[in-house]
This record gives sequence, C-alpha cells and structure tokens, in this order.
Amino acid sequence: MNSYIFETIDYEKSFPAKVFITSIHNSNFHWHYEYELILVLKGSLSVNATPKPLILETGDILLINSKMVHSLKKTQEDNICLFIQLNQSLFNDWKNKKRDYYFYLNSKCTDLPPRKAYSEFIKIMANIAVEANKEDIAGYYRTKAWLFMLVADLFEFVHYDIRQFATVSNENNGAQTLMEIITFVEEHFKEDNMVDSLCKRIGMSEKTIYRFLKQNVGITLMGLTNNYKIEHSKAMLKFTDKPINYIATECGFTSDITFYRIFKKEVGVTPNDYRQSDVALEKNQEVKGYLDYSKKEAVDLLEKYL
Amino acid sequence: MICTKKHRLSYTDAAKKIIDNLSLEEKVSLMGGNITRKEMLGSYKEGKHYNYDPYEAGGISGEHKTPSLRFCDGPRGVVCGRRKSTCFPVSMLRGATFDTELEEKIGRAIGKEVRAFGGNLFAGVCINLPYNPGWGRSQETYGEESFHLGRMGAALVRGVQSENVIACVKHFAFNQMEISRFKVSVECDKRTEREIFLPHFKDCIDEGAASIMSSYNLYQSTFCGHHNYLLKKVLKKEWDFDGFVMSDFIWGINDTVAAANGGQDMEMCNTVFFGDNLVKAVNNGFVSEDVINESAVRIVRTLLAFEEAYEEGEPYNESIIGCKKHISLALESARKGITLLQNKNNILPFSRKKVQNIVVLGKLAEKEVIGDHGSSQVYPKYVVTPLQGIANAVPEAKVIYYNGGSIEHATALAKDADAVVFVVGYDHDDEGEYVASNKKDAYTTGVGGDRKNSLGLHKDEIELIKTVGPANDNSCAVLIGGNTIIMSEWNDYVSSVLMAYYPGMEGGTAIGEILFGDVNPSGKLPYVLPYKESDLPQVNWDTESQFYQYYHGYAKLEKENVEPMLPYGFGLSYTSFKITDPDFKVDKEGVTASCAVKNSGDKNGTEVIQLYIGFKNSSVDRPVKLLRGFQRVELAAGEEKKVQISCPIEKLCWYNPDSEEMELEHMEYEVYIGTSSADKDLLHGKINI
Repeated sequence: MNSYIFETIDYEKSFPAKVFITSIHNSNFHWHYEYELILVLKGSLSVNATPKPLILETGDILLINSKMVHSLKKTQEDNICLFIQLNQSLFNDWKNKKRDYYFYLNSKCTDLPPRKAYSEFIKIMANIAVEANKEDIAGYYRTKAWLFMLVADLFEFVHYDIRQFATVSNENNGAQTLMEIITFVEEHFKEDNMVDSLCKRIGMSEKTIYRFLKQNVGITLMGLTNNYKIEHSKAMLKFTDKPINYIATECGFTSDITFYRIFKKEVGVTPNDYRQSDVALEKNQEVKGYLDYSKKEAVDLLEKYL
Repeated sequence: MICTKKHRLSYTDAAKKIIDNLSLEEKVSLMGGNITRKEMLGSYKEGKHYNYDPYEAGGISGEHKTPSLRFCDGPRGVVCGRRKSTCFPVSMLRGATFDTELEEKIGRAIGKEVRAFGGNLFAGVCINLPYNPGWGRSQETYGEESFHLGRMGAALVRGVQSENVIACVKHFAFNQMEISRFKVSVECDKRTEREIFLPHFKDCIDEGAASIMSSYNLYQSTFCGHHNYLLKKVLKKEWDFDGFVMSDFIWGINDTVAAANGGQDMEMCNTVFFGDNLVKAVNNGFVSEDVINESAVRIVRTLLAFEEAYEEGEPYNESIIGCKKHISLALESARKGITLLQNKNNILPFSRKKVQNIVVLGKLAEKEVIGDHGSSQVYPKYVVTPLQGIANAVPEAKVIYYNGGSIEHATALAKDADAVVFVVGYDHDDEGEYVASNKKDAYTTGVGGDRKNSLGLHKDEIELIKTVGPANDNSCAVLIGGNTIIMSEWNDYVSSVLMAYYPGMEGGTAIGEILFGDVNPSGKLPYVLPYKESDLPQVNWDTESQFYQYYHGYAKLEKENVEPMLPYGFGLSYTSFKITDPDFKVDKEGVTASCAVKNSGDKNGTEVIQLYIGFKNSSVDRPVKLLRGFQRVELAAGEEKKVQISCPIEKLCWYNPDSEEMELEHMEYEVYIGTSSADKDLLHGKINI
C-alpha cells in the first residue's frame, strides 16, 4: 500500500479499524480480512474487483468485502482517497460467528442501492476520518462511536448476503490456501505449465481451484494470471524496446493474437498504442511517488462532507 | 410402568387415612395452586419466564404430610429453566412420524427432565383434534385423526409415567379455537362428540393417564372447567378415571360452586375460586363435604403413588436435562417426521458433488424455528437453524443466504447457484397461543392466535417462490408451520417441497441431512392437504358460539368426493415401496390385517403402513373410511418384510344416540392396507362381522 497522508495511530491491537487517507498509484491484486470502504475525495480511482472493474470518481464510495481480491490503480488524474478498513470483529460479535457478510455498497452501481442515501454513508466516513485525526481521547471514542454507527447502518440499510459456514469448519484453511495460490501465481505466471504445477503444489484439481477462487474471492485463475501478465507486459512496453511478440512470449502469452486481445480488453488500448501513449508507469513500484497533498488539504476535503 | 391405575388405587386407603385427619381448610388447600398471581407476574419482572420453576399446588407438611403437585408444562419438552431443556420437535411433527415407540422414548426423556427440574407432573399430553387446521395451537397436537391422536397420546402417557411423573392430558374438551377460547361455546351432536372429539381422550385414560386438564371454552353453554357431564359423567363415571382433574390456568374456573360440583378437582395455578371461597361454599351448604373428600382422595392417592415410586429409584439430577441422549432423540424425531410432499424429477436429494453453491432464501432460514412463544415455549441450550443445518450438511460448499428485500437480487443469486432452498411459513406471531388483548395478563411473548386470514403462505413468500423458483430447477421449499399449509397457489413454481413443521432444537440438522440424502425422509402427513381452504369445515374464529359438524379433515373430503391435493397419511421417500399379499382376518377381539412390503428402490428407507376400515354398507351416515392402525417398517434396499396390524373391535363402533351406547354394526366392512389414505396407495379387502 502507499504511504499515508494520515492514519489512525495504533492505539491498541484490538482497535477494530484502520483509517487513513492516501493517494493511490498502484496497488496490485491483494486481499485482506478487513472490509474496506473507499471514499474518493479528489480525482478518480480505477478499481478492479468483482463483479467488474470500475472507475470511482470524486464523491463515490465503494465497499470491498472481506477476503475479496481487488486491485487499485490511479487513472490519468491524481487522486486522494479515504480508506476505512473495518476489522471482521466488528461484524462477528453478533449471535452467529460462523458467517461472512457480503455487502452491496457501491455508488457506481445502480443495482441494489442502499435504503439510505450514499451521502449519509459518506458523512459517517468523513466523521470517522476527522475524529480519528484528532488524536485525543474524545476523538478516540468518537471514532469508535461512528464506526459502530457505520456498521449498524450497513446492517440496517445495505443489502447483504450471508455466507454461512458449517459449525465445524475451518475457513482459515481457505484463507491460507488463497494466499498460497496468489503468491504462486505472482511468482510463476510466465510459465507454460503454471496451472499444472500449482495443482501439484496445493493438491487441488484445476476444477477445484476454479471453484475455490470463484467462491472465495470471485475471480478466476485465468483472470488472476492475466493480471500479472498484463502488469508485467506494461512495464516491458514502457521501459524496453523489445518487440511485441517477444514481450508476449516473455509474459507468458501463448500467441501475439492472445496478447493483443487480452491487453485491449483489460487496458482499453492495444499494446502499441499503450507504448506510444503518455501514460506514466512507476518504474519501481516499491518506491512511491511524492505526495503533493498535505494533511490540511485532506481535512478541507473531508469537511465538505460533514 | 409402576404407577398403573391398579397400583394407584392401592393407595386409596392410605389417602383416606390422611384425609380423615385433615380439617376442611386443609383438604381444600390440596385443591389449588400455591403460587399467587402477584408472585407469578413478579417472577416475569425478575427475568423469569412462564413456568421457569415448576408450579406447586397443594401439599401439606407436618404430621399428616402429603406431597405437593409440581407442575411442568410442555409438550415440546419441559418448559422450565433457561438454556437447559431438550427442545423436541412439536407434537405435529411427532405425529407425522407415526412412531409410537419413539413417542414413548420422548415421554421417558421428558419425564426424567421433569424430575430433574423438581417437578412431578407433565402437562404436555395435548391431544385436541384440530377441527380446522387454522387453530393456532395445533402444533401442540398430533394431527386431525382421533385414532392416531389416541395412539400417539397414549404413547407419551406411557413414557412420561414410566418415569414416575404424572401425565396430564389436555385440554378436555373441544378446545380447538384459540382467539375465542375464553368465550366460545362449542355445539355439536352426540355422535360428533362421542365418535370424533372424545375417543382419543378415552384412549389416554385407558392407557392410565393419571391427570386431565379441563379446557377454557364452553361446551353446550357450560364452561368445561365446571362441566358435570364431561368431568363427572363421562370421565369419572363412564371411563372410570381414578386420577384428578385440574383447571386450565387462571381463567379455567369462573365459579366456585359450579366448578366444585361440576367435578373440578383442582384450581390451577393460582387459588382464587377455590381456597377460602370453597371452604365458605361448603360451610354454607352449596357444596357437600363429600365432594371435597372425593377430590382430596383423588389428588392425594395419585401423588402418593407417584412420589413413592420415584423415591424408590435413583433420583435424577440436573445433568440429565438437555443431555446428549435426549438431544439425539430430538434429532431422531425430526429425521423421522419431516415429510417430503413433492419431488419433481427426483430433484431431491441434492448431490453433494453437483451442488457446490446453494442459495437459501426466506427470513425463517436463520430463525430459531421451534414454534410457539406461549405456554409451550421450551428454552434449549441451542437451536440449529435451517440455514446452519444446511451449511453443516455441506461444509465444503458455498452456502449463501439472502433475507429478501430485492427479489431481483434473489433471482440473480438463484440463477448462479447450483440449488436454491426457500425456507417459508410461520412463526409465533402468525400462529400460537393467544392470551389476551390485555397486555398485563399476557404470559406469551408472541402474538399468536388462529390463522384467521389464510392457511397459505405470506404474500411476500408466494411472490418470492413464484418469481425466483423458475430461475433454478434445483429447488426446494422447506415449510415451517404447525399444521396444513395450502400450496396450490405456488407449488408449480418449485420442484420439491419438504414439510418441516417446527422441527425442534436439532431441526436444522435434520433438514440439511434430508436435503442431501443422508437421511431418507419417512414422515407422513397427519392431516389432509386440500387444494383450497373451502374444502375444510369453516370456523368463525372470533365468536361466542361454534357448531362442529360430524365431518372434518380427510373424512369430510372423502365423503363429499373432493379430491385432496395430498391425502392424509401421504409422504414421499427417496426409495420406492411395493405392497403385496394383503390379508384381512377378523375375530371377537378385532381386525388383523397383514401384507408384504418391499423396498423396491436402491436406498434404505422407512414406510408407514396404514390400515383403514370402510363403512360403505352402514345403515347410518358414516365416513367412507377411517384410519384404524399403522406401523412403521424399516427396510434396507431390496428388503421385504411382512407387516401385521391389528385394530380392536371397539374401534369399529359408532355411537347410537338412541341407546346412548357405542355399537358395533354387523355388516360387511371394506378394509384397506397401504401407504396413504388415497385409493391408489391401498390394497382392498372385505371382512364380515
């Protein structure tokens, strides 16, 4: 993740949320146990998560559910976003602990709108951020109070599905397997027989892996693999002079045609057009760009929503 | 059973000896509840619920010590305590098992828990016959058929009393309307009374039940709690009942003199009309002291017999309450009673291999669907909801629940899923015990009442099934409710239908197991399922007077030649059964029918073989046929067994209002043996008497 403009101080391990404002450049496919609420305060943000990729604009909010694989990228314009990561414990202290909730909260989506205006959710998010920023005892408790309000509103006004687990099941095994699959794909996406070796490595058939990913993170193995291939090819297109067919092979695509087709679909332009475009790409994604935004600016942006 | 009627009667002298030494006041004190109304309401304020502790009545300490009665309510378990008791499926589900042995085992388990709570009486043998299935408390009884009610009730009596706990049979009589129960006077002719509404009570008394509870309602304009004819003439004289009568709670007696002279032995659970008022009535000559002596003997004799029998054995302690063995009995009952009503293209059982992604819809899926919140509410340690039960049945699969709201979203989820399960029906607000509009009197936490508006599903549930059902063929509607749920409006929109009643604390587990084929369903409908409500006898639920016709349920439909949607005694299995070689014999004792049953399918299963007797040749108006025997038969795939069912000859009688006797007609009777009451499921024969 990128550096933060500000984030909650680590009061104690048990604090049920992490609140921070940041400018996103690129955050590749990842997942976490926390439910993640994103509010775009400035600019726009490209999010790739199920069911389909979308661009969030200023004033949009999106909830990314626990354990859902997603990636975040900057668009042409720079962005400032508020992130509230809600710990699972906030959702688990009700009667039945053997369940996950899947909320539908996405201001870019017309299906299943919440039974309360998005602006109400945004207001609570802004309050959480402002209170969290105060770094005093009143702020600490108010942050918590607003967090509980937010969770209550999610249950009362947002549509959600429940994934019910068996009484004796170990969903943690699932999370471990998921981590293993993602790491493996990240390291081996270029290899022809990646799927075979993955199957051997984790002891699941291709079908089972497909089902497992679909059920747990809503993404296919192919989708995940293609993502790494595309990201790698983008870098090669921008930073090398290698011919396209070389890049295609190097990135693990079976043919030029496949490379073109998938690249066009995922990025929106052909590899050639991309190479010639002005779109900047961070050369070393570990080193984050300079943040132009001051804390002051972030607070000003937030105050509009209070 | 130690405490048989004979054994109890052997305590008559001992009881008389005690009573001879008691003052009038002391004797009368035996005849009423010891808890005051104020104490009762006060206990609710302390966070205790109705009957949290056994309610005590009577009892005298000192020189002429007599044991007190300690009342525990039911029937789906023992009402006392919190997070302790075993919550069995409601009686209606247990009726659907047609398993008297299992009912007896449940009775024993309940008896043990009653004793462990410190009680000595279980008032959970509810055998009222729902004249119309809309009766709000019909979940507490076993079904619509008097013969079947008698057999199931008698089995519970046997079980409970084997543990030296007094079984109290209720509500005597004609109690099958809820909203009007305090004011309605039921009217019917003598044949209806004797052939339809009383025989099952007699069956339980014949089995040795030592106590009976009078009902709130009136019969022929007299309160049943004061009913000389019902309590003295029929029960105590004709049926030679040796035990005692108690009133239904608080509002079951309305007049001191009328009740005492009407044969009422005990005012429960607060003493208001009895106690000092009864002493005064005796002193003023309105009630003879002999009446008091008789009641006192009945009460003391019964209590002495049961208390001594219990004290001779090992006492039960709290560890038996909600123990593993009892909970597994609750599960066994749910497995055997849940009834498969429809299974198009054998869509059930779901295949674990193919069904990896299940969508569960309907708000009852995540509710604790164990039934009413009235006086029958049991407080178990835990309840497995239908949703949890389904998830437990397929731990590897993805089980998604959506609580409704957006029907489009529900449809989209169903489309993507490998199977969809609707959990629909009723809860304690839709049907159940109804106390009063006066909130301060209420001891229930649900709305309850009769189903006066409809016997069908809620509008939103029908819309859900009709809209989402077509999106996925691999579908099942799991019905929750205490009695008939009319299905004709929506059953074409769903492939399979499973009637789960209120399946108890392990009900969700049984639902999951049946959906995925770990358990082969074997329940049978203990009532007829008509296409439309108007096929059933009509009742004015809010009334002061209601006439009951002679015909109700399947007998009415058959008599009127109305085809039911599903016949009485119907239930599907995942295997198939073939019935052959019917044989019918008759002698002085009764009718004996036999047949061979073969499991002709490829799964182990259980069939309920049913015996019906037909009365087409009768010289009077009688039903086409009536259930007169049943037997569960467990068969491995391919296995064949011979089944024999007997019916005592008196169960063929009719009541002759002229002679005022049950009479046997000498004629040719049709006899039927098979797997439901439908003609196509029965093999025919004839017998001559």
